[in-house]
Amino acid sequence: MGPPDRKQRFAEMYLAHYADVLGYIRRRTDSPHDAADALAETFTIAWRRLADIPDGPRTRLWLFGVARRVLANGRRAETRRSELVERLGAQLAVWSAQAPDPAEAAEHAEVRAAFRRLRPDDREVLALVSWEGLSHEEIAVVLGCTRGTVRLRLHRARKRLARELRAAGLDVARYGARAVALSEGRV
Amino acid sequence: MTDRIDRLVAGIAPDPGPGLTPLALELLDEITRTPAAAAAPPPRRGRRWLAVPVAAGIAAVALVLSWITPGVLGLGPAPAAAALRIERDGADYVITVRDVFADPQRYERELRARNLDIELQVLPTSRSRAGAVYIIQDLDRLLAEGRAPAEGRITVIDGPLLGEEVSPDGPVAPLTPPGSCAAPTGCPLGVRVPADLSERARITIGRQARPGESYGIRPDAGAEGEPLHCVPYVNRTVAEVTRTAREHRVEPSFAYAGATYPPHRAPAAWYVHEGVMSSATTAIFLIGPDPDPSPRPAAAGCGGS
Repeated sequence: MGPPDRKQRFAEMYLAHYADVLGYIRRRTDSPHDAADALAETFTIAWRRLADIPDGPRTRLWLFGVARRVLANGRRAETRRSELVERLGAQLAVWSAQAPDPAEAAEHAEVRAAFRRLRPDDREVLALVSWEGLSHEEIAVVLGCTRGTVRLRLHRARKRLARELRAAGLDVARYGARAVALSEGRV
Repeated sequence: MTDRIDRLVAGIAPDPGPGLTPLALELLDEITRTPAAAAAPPPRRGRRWLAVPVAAGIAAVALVLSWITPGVLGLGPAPAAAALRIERDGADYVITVRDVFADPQRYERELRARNLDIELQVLPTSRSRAGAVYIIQDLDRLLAEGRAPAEGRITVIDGPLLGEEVSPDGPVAPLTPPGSCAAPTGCPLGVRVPADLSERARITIGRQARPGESYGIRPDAGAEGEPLHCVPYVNRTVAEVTRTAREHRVEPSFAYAGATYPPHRAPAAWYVHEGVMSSATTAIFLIGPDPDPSPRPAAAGCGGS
């Protein structure tokens, strides 16, 4: 494949999945500048390893997997951020400051606190289901494990979150029903 | 219960961000400009970032942005807040830069909306130059005539044209004159311009560089507040200046005929004519085979050089 094809293929992949990868990273980082760094690093890795990226629905999962490792690595590139990545970070910061996050609403405070008390592995598997909307099979691709392992991890993570919520004095069945009704505009 | 738990988690999903923006397209361009083979995994350094559970950082972000984006909070979910605050004050406009990293085209759009024909850019510079304002007036005519003014002789080796620095009591004036900002978090950056500024102008404002960032506005290496203030280097040899600069933790490079050279590639016995800081820890010195017969005087308060 010649360079123009390569560039074209990367551009198509980038445009199709940028928003999803940005969402994935932003939801898991605190600092907008770190999010911009991780975003640039994820796509730079994709550009370098374009030949390894699977086609079709698996592309997004592959990118999530890379982003996950970039974040888990927990380190920032030695090379100075480009001026562009600086601006991207600043843009994300302005975005955060401007748009009140619906997830920060007071009625979710207990759930948020309980979720934060979970172990990172538990949080990740729950988030992949509820934030990215992935199936067990897709999560298995992102995490690099079997479907059976995903099912088991999810089961345990849900149980642990329910336990945290109960410990915080929340009746999951009742609170859950109310929260669902609220989210559907029935209250 | 499974379904309820999943819905509760879905309810605390943090905001996914602005999606594909013009900056995202610039990033695509930047990444694909790198040859794939050259985009090797960068070496690592030890700074860890926090992979926090969920959006815990909004308060912190708001604090960091406090003076850069005053008044942005609570404006609602518009994708792009104004990058500038433009207020009329008598016969002048007071332009405050809220987003110092915004795309210059955004500044231009907002200025045009007020009929101000100004190209505005914000460039990194030293702490002592932050807030400085430079202007090139009547830009179109000068460019058409093939001449653009430049301050100094070597500030433009590979940097942008800045024009003349404006003074605090001139018609075009900085909001925070350089060196006057004592607040640890910095001061508002901006410029006051006459509302009837008729000719197209390019205005450049200095912001303090981040650690390691190269300067877009290069201050004189001997200016007050710079590492080589009152350190004699004019008409000293390349060898001497290399040693002196390094004693002050500044790594020099040397420029001649439009090219720059590291110390070991520059003629050790040539003479330094002038110097600028190119980052907090690097400087570029203009050199020639002979001493400069009419050297610029040393900075005020330093005595002769």
